[in-house]
Amino acid sequence: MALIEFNNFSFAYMNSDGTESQVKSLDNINLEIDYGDFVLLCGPSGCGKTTLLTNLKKELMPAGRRSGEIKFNGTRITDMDDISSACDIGYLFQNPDSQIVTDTVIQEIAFPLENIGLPTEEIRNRISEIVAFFGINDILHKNVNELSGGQKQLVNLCSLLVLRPQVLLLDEPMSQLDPIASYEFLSIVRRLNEEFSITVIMSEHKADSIFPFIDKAVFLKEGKIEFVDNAHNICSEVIDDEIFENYLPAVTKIYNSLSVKYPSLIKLNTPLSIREGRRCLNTIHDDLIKISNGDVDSNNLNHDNLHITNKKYHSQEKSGILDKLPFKNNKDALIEMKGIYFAYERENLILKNVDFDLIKGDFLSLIGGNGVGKSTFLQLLVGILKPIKGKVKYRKGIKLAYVHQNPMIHFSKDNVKEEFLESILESDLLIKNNQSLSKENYEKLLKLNNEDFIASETLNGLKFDSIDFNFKELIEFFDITDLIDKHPYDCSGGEQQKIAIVKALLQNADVLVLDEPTKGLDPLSSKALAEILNSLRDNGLTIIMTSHDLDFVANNCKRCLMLFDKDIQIDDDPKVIFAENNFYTTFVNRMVKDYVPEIVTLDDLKDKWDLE
Amino acid sequence: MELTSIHPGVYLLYYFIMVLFAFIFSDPYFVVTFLVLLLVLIALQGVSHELKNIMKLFIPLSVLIMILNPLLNRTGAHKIYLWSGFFITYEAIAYGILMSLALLIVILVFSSYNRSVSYQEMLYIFSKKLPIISMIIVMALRFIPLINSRAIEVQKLNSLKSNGVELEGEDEERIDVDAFNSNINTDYNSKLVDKLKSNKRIAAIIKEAKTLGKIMGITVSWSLEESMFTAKSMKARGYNATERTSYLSYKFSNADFAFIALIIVTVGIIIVGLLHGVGMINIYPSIDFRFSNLPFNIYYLAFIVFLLPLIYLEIKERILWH
Repeated sequence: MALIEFNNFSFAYMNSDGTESQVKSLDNINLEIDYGDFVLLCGPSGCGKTTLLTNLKKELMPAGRRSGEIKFNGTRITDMDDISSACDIGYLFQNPDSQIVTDTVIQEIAFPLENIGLPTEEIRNRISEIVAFFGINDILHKNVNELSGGQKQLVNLCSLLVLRPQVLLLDEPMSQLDPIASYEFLSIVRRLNEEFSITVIMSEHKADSIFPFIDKAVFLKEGKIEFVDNAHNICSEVIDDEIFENYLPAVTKIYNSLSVKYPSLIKLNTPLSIREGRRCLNTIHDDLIKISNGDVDSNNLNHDNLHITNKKYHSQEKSGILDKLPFKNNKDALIEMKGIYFAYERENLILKNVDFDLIKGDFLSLIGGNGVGKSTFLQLLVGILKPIKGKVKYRKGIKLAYVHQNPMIHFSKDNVKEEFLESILESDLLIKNNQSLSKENYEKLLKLNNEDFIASETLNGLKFDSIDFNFKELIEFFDITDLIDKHPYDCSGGEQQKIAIVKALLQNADVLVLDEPTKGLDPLSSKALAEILNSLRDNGLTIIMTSHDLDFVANNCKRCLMLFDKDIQIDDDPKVIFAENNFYTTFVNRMVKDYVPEIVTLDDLKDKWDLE
Repeated sequence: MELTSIHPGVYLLYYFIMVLFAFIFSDPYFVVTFLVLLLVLIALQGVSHELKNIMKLFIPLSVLIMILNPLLNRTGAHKIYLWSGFFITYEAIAYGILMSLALLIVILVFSSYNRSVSYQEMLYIFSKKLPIISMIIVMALRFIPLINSRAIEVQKLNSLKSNGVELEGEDEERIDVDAFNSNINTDYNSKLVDKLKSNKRIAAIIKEAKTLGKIMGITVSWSLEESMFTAKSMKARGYNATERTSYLSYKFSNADFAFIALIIVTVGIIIVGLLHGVGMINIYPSIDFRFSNLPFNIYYLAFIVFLLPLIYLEIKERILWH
C-alpha cells in the first residue's frame, strides 16, 4: 500500500461570489506516493502545484468542489483527526517570514508542541533533540528578526520536524532564499529523506540541484498531470515538450543536444548531476576536443592551452566592450557615484569608497553573496538612501524608476488600471505631451473595458522619452491585457513583477532599477522577462538589476558588477567573469569547463559545438 | 542574577508586596530606608536603558508634583505666608515630597522587577491562567517589529516619489494626483477648506497626513496579506487542536522556600507594626512627625530584613564570580 494515493481526484475553486468555478484547478489526478519517496512537483505558475499540496493537508484545504479521494495511510485526508493531521503531515510555505508566529526561536519550535498539548517535559525533550541534530544551539534564544532568510526557513522546518511528521509538503521553500542558503536547505531536506525516510513532496522551479536525488518527478500543466516518472526517464520523455523542456537541469539539456549528434551517448543513462554529465562527456572526449578547438591542432588541453584560449577569448570579446566602458570621467555617464561610503550602523561599513558610472544603454547586473550590499547599492543609486560620504551625480533631467524586491508594495489602488493612471499622473508625461486629463475623462477611462482602455486615444498619444512604444504596444508587449481590471493583489508573483515594471516605465523613466526581479519566477516567466528587458534595452532604456540567478545574468546582461568586501570587486562582461570563475559560475560552464572554458550559456555552447 | 534561580511566582509575590508597601508607608524614615536599599539593589543589578529614559521624564514630573501640590492644596495647620493673603501649608509640602518619593519607589521597583524576571518567565506565570492572552502577547512581540520594518520599506519607496532624483522640473506645475483619487471625495465647496488649503503650512500638513495615510494603507494591506499565511501556518501546526500546554517550566527549589518563609515572617511582623501605627504618619490636618522619633524597633528591623535578600544574593553572586 502506498503512503499517499490520489484516486481520480479533481478540484475546482470557489469563486469570490460563492459560485463554483467552471475551471478545474486539478483535473482527474491519479498518483501514488510510496513511503520515503522524494517527489518533485514542477509546472508553470498557476498549474495547480500549490492546490495539490494544500489538498493533502486537512487544515489548509481550500474551499471548493472536490471529487474523487486522497488517502493517506489508507484513511481519507478529510477523515483524519486534528492532532494526527497536524503531526503526520508538515507543510512549509514559500515565505520564511510570514509563517513565523512567535518572536524567539525556541518559542517558535515549541509552538506546535504546545498546540498538541504535550506535557512540558516531553516538549523540552523533543526541542533538545532537534536542536542537537541541527546544531542550532547558538540561535536558540535569539529573536527571529536577527536571523537570515535561510536560518528562518530552517527554524520553520525544525518547527515541523518536532512533530515527527511522516510527510513533508514543501511549497517552493527555496524561492525566497539565495543560492547558498538554498543549497544548505536542500541538503538538510535530502538528509531527512535519506536518513529518516521522511517522505518529501516539494514544488520548485529551479530543479538543477534537486534532480539528482529525486525518486519521482510530477510535471503538472493546467491541473493535469502531464508526465510522471523517475528522474532519468522523465528527462528523455519531455525533450520535445515546449514547456517542460525548460525545467530540466542544464546538464541534461546539454546531454540531450549532444546525443543527437553523437548517438553513442543514447545508450548511457541520462546524466542528472555535473558528475554524471562529465562522465558522459568523457566517453566522447576526443570528438569534443576536436570541435572545441576548431582548426587549432591540439588534442590535449593542458594549462597553457587553457590560458591561451582564455586570453584569446578576452582579446576578442573584450575589445568590443572596452570601447564602451571607459571607467573614469565619462561624459556619457547617466549616473556617477564617487567615493561612496555607507553604513547602517557606525561599526559596520557596508560600502567603502565605491566608484561607479552608469552609462546609457547598459544592461547591468549586480551579483554577489547574501548581505554584501547589493540592495543597498541600488537604493543609494536611486537616492532612497543617502551616502554617509561621497556623491552621487545624476545627469540633468534623467528619471529613475525603482522596482522593489517585493512588487506588492508598489500597489495602493483597487485595480491595475488605476495603478497605471496614477503613474502617468505622477510623471511629467502629460505636460510634456501637452495633454490634459480632466476628472471626467479619468472616470470615463476607468469604466472602459480592457481592450478599449489600452486602445484609448489619450493614453496612446503619450510619447515616452527613452522607449519607442506607445501605451498599447507596451501593455501588449508585456502581455498583461487580461490583468488590467484585476486587483493587483490577485495577480501571481510574476504578474505583479510585470505590472510594477510597467508602472515604473509609465513614469517616463530613462533608467530602470530592479531589485531581484528573477526571485521566485518559473523558467518560462524568467525567459519572458529576459526577452522584455532585452528589447527595452534595445529600445533605448538603461537597466540595472540585482540577481542571484547566474544563468539569467550570463544570458542577458552586458555588464556585471560583483560586489565583495565593501567594494566592486569585478566590473566586466558577465561571460568573462563566469568563464574565469571556478565555483561561482553557471551549470553549463561547470559542465564543459575542461573543453570550452569560455562558454557559460547553453546557446553559446550550441553555437560552438554546432548542435541543433 | 545567574547563579541563583528563583521561581518567577515568588518574584511576582515579592515585588507585588513591595509596590503595596511603597503606597502604605509614609514615615520618612521608612520611606528613605526603602529608597536607599532599592537604589543599592538597582546599582547591583545594573541600570537599564529604559530606566534612564524613564528618569528623564520622572524628574520634571516630580518637581511639578512638589510645586503644584502646595499651590493647589491649602489644607494643613502650619501655614507659611509667602506674601499678604497668599499662603502654602507645611503639610502640603511634606505630602508633595512624600508622594513623589512614593512614585519614584514604584518606578524603581518595576525597573528592578524587569531585571529580575525576563518576559519569558512572565509568560510562564500568565500562560497557566491566561493562555490566550499570553499567546497574543507573544504574537504581538513578533508582529510589531515586523510591521515596523515593512513600514520603513514602504516609506523608502515613497521618499523616492516625493523628493526623488528628478532634478529638473521640481518647481514646474504638477498635477494634483489626489484630485483623481476615486477613494477620496475631494469635491469640497466650503470656503473654509479653501482658505485652509491656501495656507502653506496647513497645506503641507495635509499633504504630509495624506502621504502618511498612504504609507499606512500599503503597510496594512501588505501585513494583512502576509498574516493570512501566518494564520495558515498556525493552523497547519495544530493550533486550536487541543488545549495548549507550555514548554516553560520552573521548579520550586530550596531557595524559593527559604525566600517565601522570609517573606511571610517579615511581612507578618510588619503588618503587626502597621496595625500599631508604626511606619505611617498623619499628615493632614496636622503633621505628627518628629525627627527625634527614631524608629528603632522590631518592626523597622523586619522592614530592613524584608528588603535585604536580593541585595544579599547579588553580593554573594559577585563574590562567587571572583
